[in-house]
Amino acid sequence: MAEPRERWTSRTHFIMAAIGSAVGLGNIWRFPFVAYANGGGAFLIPYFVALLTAGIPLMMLEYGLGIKMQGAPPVAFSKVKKGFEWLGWWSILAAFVIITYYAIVMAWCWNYIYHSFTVAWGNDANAFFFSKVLQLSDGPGKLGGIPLGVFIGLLLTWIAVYLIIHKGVGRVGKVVMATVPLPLILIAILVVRGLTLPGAAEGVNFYLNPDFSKLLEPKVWLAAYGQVFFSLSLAMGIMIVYASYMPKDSDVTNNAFITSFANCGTSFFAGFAIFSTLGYLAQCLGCNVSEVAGAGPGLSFVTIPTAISMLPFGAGFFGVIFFITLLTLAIDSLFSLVEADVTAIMDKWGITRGKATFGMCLVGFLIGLVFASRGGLYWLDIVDHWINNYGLTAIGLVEVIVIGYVFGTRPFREFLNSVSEVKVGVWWDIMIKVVTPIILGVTLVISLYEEFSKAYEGYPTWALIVGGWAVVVGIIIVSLILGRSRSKKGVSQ
Amino acid sequence: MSAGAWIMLIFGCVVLYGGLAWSLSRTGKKR
Repeated sequence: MAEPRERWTSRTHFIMAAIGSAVGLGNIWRFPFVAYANGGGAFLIPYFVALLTAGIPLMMLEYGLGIKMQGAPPVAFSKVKKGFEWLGWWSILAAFVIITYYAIVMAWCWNYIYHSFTVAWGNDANAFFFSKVLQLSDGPGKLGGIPLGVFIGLLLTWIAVYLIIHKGVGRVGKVVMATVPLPLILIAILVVRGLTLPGAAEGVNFYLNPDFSKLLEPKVWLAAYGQVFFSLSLAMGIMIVYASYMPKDSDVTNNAFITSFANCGTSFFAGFAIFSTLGYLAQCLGCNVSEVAGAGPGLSFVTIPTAISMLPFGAGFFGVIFFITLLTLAIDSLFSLVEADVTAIMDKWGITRGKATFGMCLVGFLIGLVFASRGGLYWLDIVDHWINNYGLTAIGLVEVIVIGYVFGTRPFREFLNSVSEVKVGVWWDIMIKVVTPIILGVTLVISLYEEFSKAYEGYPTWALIVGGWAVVVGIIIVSLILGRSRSKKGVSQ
Repeated sequence: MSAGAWIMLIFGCVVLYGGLAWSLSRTGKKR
């Protein structure tokens, strides 16, 4: 007889775990720059519209699927309609690909926490990151060896992930009670430090000064929807899996509101830490804030360290604080991705949690070695671009079409309202059936057009085929195979 | 900071943290 499904110890643990998953590196290294580049404070208007018309409705859909179907995405979609198990595997495999390179960023964080004690990057953070830490090769064709520091960081990351999730969601619930509030407290320290630096007001002004003319540009609205979509950990199966560990009569809609507002509130707050620091850096360098503003690894591992080294006192201390913030932001996003994959494996083949977790961590670590190599950054950039633009966007699009037109929004909404504290009206149906598919469809078409207009970041075509198209098409093929394969336990539990 | 930046700061705080406070206030005894 099958064992009863694991459960979160409390609703708080579930919400904290979901917030921890949604709040990740993108909140600190993507949102502030996207806001600045798309109208500053005016960007908040399309951002809130996107949150209310796509982000929260989709979050309700994923929570609802998990709670109603009581299983990982393959189980959930096979219960929506027979023959749709592959759609669940598609999201699970996309999550798996993300796992393999997301862990690398954490490996860099471990290194930078160590180097922060001596502010080892000195006055040339750029050379330190690319030449010393990454030992970056000339191009994707030269993988080279693996820098020892990155290797150790990767190992530490995977050991941490294994220890957190191999005992089940009970332990995850306890861990997130520390790993979710901690980075918020650390961001608050960075905000206070940043705002008390000279030039901070100028930096924050760049972040929030509104340019309302930008609201007439469609790309600004698409950027807002993209930011909301990618920031909420949607289409990766995580929210479905986390919700599947809640009882079948649990609240859906209010949990979605809480998670989404907490996630976006964190992004908004983190922007003050980033832009106040950039304002200080610009003043130190005697340049405009726009010249130092950036996003992604360049911001976190080059620009901010440069600013940290120029602090009047406590550079090492604030360096440690900043990189522990990144590490703790990333860890619960990473183990939520691994948890999604582990749950899908357990549901399908009845493998014990311990074995599934160990296997997943080992494979994730081994594949991650490619991204840890000296040419790994190029591959990380390519795979990340493709999996976001053609993996997650496409999965989200198919997901809303399946729920909207195959299962039907009305019966789904009736379920949501039967269990939830906040009732949703017909507006939810419209968002799922019309607004979100149009936005995701348009985003997909524009991305495809741009892809064929010019080679992404000037990479050689063979690298884009291997790291981009082959990965995206490959996971679709594998998900179709897995969707048709027989399970030991049977997906319809 | 410009007046526009201050207004958007207040607007962002009201919507995001007001939204969070509203949703938390709706939390009942459900799991």
